Amino acid sequence: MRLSDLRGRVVVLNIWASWCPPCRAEMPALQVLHEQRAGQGVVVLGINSTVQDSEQAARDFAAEYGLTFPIALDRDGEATRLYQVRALPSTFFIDRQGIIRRVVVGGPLNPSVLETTVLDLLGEGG
Amino acid sequence: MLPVLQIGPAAIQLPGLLLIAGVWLGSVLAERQARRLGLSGDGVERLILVGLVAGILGARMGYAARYLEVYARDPLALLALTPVTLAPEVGAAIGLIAALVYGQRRRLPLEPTLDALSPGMAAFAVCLALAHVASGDAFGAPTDVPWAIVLWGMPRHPSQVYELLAALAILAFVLRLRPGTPFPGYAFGVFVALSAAARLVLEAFRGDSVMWFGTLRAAQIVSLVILLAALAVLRRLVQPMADAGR
Repeated sequence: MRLSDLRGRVVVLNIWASWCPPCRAEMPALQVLHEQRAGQGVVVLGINSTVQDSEQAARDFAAEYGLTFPIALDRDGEATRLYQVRALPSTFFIDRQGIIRRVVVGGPLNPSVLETTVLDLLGEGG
Repeated sequence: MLPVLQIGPAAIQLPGLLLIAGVWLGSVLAERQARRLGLSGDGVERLILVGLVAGILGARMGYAARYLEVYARDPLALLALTPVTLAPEVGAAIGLIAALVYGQRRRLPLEPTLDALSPGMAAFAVCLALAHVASGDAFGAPTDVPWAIVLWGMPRHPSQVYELLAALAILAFVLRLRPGTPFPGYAFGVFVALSAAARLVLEAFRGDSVMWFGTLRAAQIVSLVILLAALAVLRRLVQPMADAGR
C-alpha cells in the first residue's frame, strides 16, 4: 500500500511494537476510530516496527486486540527510518492532500486527541 | 530532535521538561525585573501563577467547547495530561484577563507590571522553541534549500531553528532595554510587536499551518492584527512624550 493511494482521505498512521506498553494502551482507541470513521474517509494504518519486534508477536498482538485495520510490517526498518521514529508509539495525522499535519511522539494517545484531530482534518474538506 | 530522554529506566519527555523549565526561568526573570521596577516581586510571581493556571484551564475548556460531543461522551478527557488538546488563543485570553483582574485587585500598576513580565515571556518563548526542536512539532514546509533538514520523511525548512533564533534575538533585545524607559509599557509593547512580526514572517515556512478559507494562514492573520495593535498602542504611549518635547 502506498500513502499516495490514500489521497483524498484522512490517514492516521500509527507505528508500534508489541512489547511497548503505551502502544498496547492506545490500540483499542485506534480500533474504535477505525470502526467509527472508516466510512467517513478516515484510514487507520498501523505499521509494526518489525525490525525491533517479531512477525509472530505482531500477529498475536493484532489478534489479541481484534485489530481489523490494515497493518504493514516494517521488516527492514525503512519506515521507521523514513519517519524518524525516535519513540514508540509514534502517530502521524495526514490530511486529504497527503500532508502530515500533526505528529504525536510517544503515548498512549488520549482518545480525545485522536478524535478531535481527525474531526479537524475531516472538517477541512478537500 | 530528541523527544524522549532516556536516563536509565526513566523515559523523560524532553519537550515537557523544557516547557516547565521555561515557566521557571520566566518567573525568575519576571520577578527580578519587577524588583528593578520597584514592584512587589511576590505580587508579580503570584500574578504569573494565577495567569498560568487560568490560562491552562481556559485553554482546555476552550478546546473542549469546540468538541462538545467528544467531551460530553468522555468528560475525563478534560483532565488528559496532553498539551495537544489545548486552545492556546483561548488560554492566552483567559490567562491575560485573570492576570489583569488579579493585578488590579493587588493594585499592581499595569504598564510597569507588563514590562516586568516581558523578559520572562521572552525567555519562555526560547524554551518553547527548544521544546519544538526536541519534539519536532511546529515543523517546516517541504523545501529544497541547502539548509533543509530531513524530518518526517522529507527535506523541510528547519522552522524550529528559525523560531529559536528569532526567540533568542527577541530575548537579547528585551534584556537590553532599560526598565521603565523611555516610558512604562515600552518593553512589553516592543516584545509583543517583535514576537508578532517574527511569527508573521516565520509562519510562511511552517508545514503545519491552520488555513482559513483555504489559502490564508490563520497564525499570520492573528499575528498581523496583534502587530498592528501593538504598534498603535506604542504610538499612543509615545505621543504625549513627543508633544512634551515640542
